[in-house]
Amino acid sequence: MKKGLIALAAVAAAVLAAVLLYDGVAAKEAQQTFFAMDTVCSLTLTGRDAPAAAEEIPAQVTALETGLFSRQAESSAVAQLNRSGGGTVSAQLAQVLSETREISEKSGGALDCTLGGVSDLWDFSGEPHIPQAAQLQAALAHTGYQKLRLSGNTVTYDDSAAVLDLGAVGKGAALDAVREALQDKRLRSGIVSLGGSILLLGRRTFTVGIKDPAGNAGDCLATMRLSDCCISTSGSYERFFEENGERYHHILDPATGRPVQNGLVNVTIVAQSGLVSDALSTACFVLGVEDGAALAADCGCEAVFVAENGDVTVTDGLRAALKVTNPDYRIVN
Amino acid sequence: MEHKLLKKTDLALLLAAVLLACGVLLWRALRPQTQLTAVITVNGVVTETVALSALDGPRTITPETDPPLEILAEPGAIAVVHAGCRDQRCVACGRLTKPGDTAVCLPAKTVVTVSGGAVDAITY
Amino acid sequence: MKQRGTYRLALAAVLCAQALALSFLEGLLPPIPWLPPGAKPGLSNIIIMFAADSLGLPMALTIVLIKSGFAFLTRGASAALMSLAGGVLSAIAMRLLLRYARQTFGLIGISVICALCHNFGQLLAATVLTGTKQVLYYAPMLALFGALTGVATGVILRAVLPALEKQKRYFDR
Repeated sequence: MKKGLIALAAVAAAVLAAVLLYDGVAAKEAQQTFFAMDTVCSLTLTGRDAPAAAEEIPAQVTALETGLFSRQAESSAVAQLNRSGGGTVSAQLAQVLSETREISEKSGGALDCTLGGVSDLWDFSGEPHIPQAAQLQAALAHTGYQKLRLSGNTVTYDDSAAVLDLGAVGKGAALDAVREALQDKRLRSGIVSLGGSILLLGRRTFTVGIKDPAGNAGDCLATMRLSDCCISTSGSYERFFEENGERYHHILDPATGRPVQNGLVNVTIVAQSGLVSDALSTACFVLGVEDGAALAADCGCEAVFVAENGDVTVTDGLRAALKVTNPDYRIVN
Repeated sequence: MEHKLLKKTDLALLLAAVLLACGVLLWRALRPQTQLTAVITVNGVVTETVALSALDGPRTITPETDPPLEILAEPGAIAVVHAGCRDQRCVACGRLTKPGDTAVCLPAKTVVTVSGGAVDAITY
Repeated sequence: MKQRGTYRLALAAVLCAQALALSFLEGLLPPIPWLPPGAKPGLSNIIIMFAADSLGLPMALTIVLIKSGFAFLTRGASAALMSLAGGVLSAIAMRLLLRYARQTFGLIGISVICALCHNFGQLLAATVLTGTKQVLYYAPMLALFGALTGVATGVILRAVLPALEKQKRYFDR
């Protein structure tokens, strides 16, 4: 019996030691925080290849930004297109353009990636100000998603003054590219956030919070339990300025060229594709609750609309996963 | 009260208890870590939620309790640094840094707990 | 018959005093990190175990009650509730085990189960007191701790059993 007791103690000690040791090296995990696409990005990967994969992603995202999507980066494919008024693009960019165009069509132009000229006037990322009405009208004349045509990998501009701007889909498209790059890596789970546009990988269920516009950074108005999808939000609080006591935010209505004023503060889209979630969050914000919900349903995505007065509208497929955590907000549908 | 001290079943029982407890601890250790959030509960009511990972400096929190408590939140950790009660057990718990770490002050009916399950990421 | 009752009462009183003394000694130990507030080795379980066997469950529960009254006076209401919840649960477990599982478990086994019940009761009390489930976080640490102290109390009980039996005989008339 004494022997038994000693053996037991040994087993217990060994297990305890194993627990403590494992605590340190458990489930290979890698984290990165970096700046790209004009915002803070972060990622957490777990699995055998996590450290190596996490190393690669910041460079990949930066390359996508400067090489493809960013209108401001001179060497990017988009900047070149704008300069030359058309041309042949990579298969990757052609894919992005065609998917964006599809959503522009479905949304009746609520998503318009030719608004570059208009947003330059507002200059939200520089010195924001209210543009003169005449200037705005002039710039609006050169917008409209139909003015850009894509056949195969060739882009033609019907209006050489149109300015392609992928700001509304860039982060989402980058998430899709990151997902593709991570596909053949041995990972258990992962979460990638490019300035609030999120990619969830693996079977793990994550809790994703929707930012509370009235709160501090890190405060959420609701949480969603989700896995293996992309989440994007468009919020009127992200970039804005005040002039003469009025607030002007960066989500522009393609019809007027002015900030959307429909009582919404943010719209969150959950979709398989990053690009779709990013594009729809903008389009649905522009369309408002009713038309936005219809568009989301049309695209097979789920959406959450948050209004200034605290009303939250959520599509049926997301209702069970969504939990409103701030008592100032309530689900109204 | 005639009785044998140790029987085979006792050993089996001990082994089961130890393995079960270690199993739970192991599972906890292996659980993927995420963004840390500290939740302070007084009398069963959540009075404060602090996103520890988002803090950029220390912040002192004094919930309205009797006896008084002083809680210090830092980036990635939270601790009860002063308690107005006799036993000081919540202070003895030290810095809470992992999801699930908990300090309880029974006299003040206060629980400080770190949850990683709160939010993994925020979309904005 | 009436006299026998008096003797039993006297024995209970002595056991009660011994339980109080042990729990007082325990109170001198510093708080143990990573265990919930109020978690103790439960040395007084030795006495309560013996009482449950020799005097029956009602008497053992009375001792538990007096002990938590003592905790109330010295350490306040929450400590009393923790002590009561732990004590009642472990006394009941002990009585059941001594009656039905004597052949299955040795002294160590019984006292380990009692220690686990004791800790579980304390956890339940803490859950009620704080109104949060978070306290259950301590469960695995407490189980390890309980297994350890259970072995200790079992061994100590075995060691002091002759003395306790001898003490009891003074009251067996």
